Amino acid sequence: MYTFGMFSYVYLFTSFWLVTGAYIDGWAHNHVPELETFFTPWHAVLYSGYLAMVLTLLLWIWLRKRKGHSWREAVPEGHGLSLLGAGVFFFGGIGDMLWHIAFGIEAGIEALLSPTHLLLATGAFLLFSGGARHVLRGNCFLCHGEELLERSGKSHESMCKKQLHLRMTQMMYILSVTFCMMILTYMTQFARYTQIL
Amino acid sequence: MKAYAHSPAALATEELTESSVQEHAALHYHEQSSAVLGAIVLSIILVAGLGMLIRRKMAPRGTVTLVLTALVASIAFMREGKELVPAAIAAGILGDIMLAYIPRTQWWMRAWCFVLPFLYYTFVVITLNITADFWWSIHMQAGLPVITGFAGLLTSLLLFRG
Repeated sequence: MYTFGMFSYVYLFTSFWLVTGAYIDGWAHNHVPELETFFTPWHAVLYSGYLAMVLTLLLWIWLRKRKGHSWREAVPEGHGLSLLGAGVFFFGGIGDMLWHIAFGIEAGIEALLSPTHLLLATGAFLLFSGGARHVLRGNCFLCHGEELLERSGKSHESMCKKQLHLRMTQMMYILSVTFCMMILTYMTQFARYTQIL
Repeated sequence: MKAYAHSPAALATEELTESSVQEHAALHYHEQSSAVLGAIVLSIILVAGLGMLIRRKMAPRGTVTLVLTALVASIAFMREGKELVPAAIAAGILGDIMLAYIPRTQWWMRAWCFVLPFLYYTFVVITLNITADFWWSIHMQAGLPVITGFAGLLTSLLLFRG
């Protein structure tokens, strides 16, 4: 049984996986000399994180669709833009591979401004911010809002007062915003292209 | 103690010609301006992200420490600057303590947005003086926390309005 709580936990974990992959890849670009291929273990961590994240989202949508829900009901509230982000990241990834084949691997500051890397960052930002958008619309991390509405006829926020749910919803929002901030600091490294600061 | 390129310690080992002096001066300028810009950008991202959490009442105790440490540690892992992680933790804890006690009014929140980056970069300057051959002049070292504080304050004007 794939509950909404499970979806949320897995989505959070895969967000962490993807952001870790991005930083590991960044580490490789800074520490491994003459990185001249797209097929590296660091890219494997990055792209497998993306794949896991998208599969988590698509599996939830597919299960909801199987239960006869409309597309609008099947996509968790706030995750419409996450789907767009998944598409942007997908085309960014393919574009990145073609870009590397055509123009070679970026070195140093180039990696932060390459158009395909900017596409990947935009896609990742939209994916990470999905959790925050979900919470901002008054939803709980562990309950599916629509199910609660069906049961109570009240707004979700007024219904879900369980301490654990409130804490986890807060945590989801904090981590979602933190991952977005980490992507922003990652992509603005050109402004601290110095040894330590 | 780490000796950075273009620092007085590094230059002392090098035979200087007129052109190399000019070259070092240009590198000094670019390295410093890039570092200050980076500090301003990080302050804006930090205050904007935390401001969003605070405004939505989604910042329980420990949030400032968690977010600031995550940002600094991840950059340190990828590049350099592991010695700055304790500075981030210290500034984060002080930021959390202040946040717990100040009233959530517009002016207090704006003041907090100035103080957080100011504190972090004050700790950064102190850390670099202790752990590295930090060659910046006193004017630059004293001004860095202030300019980042202003960046935080300006960002807060967009977040805490009316």
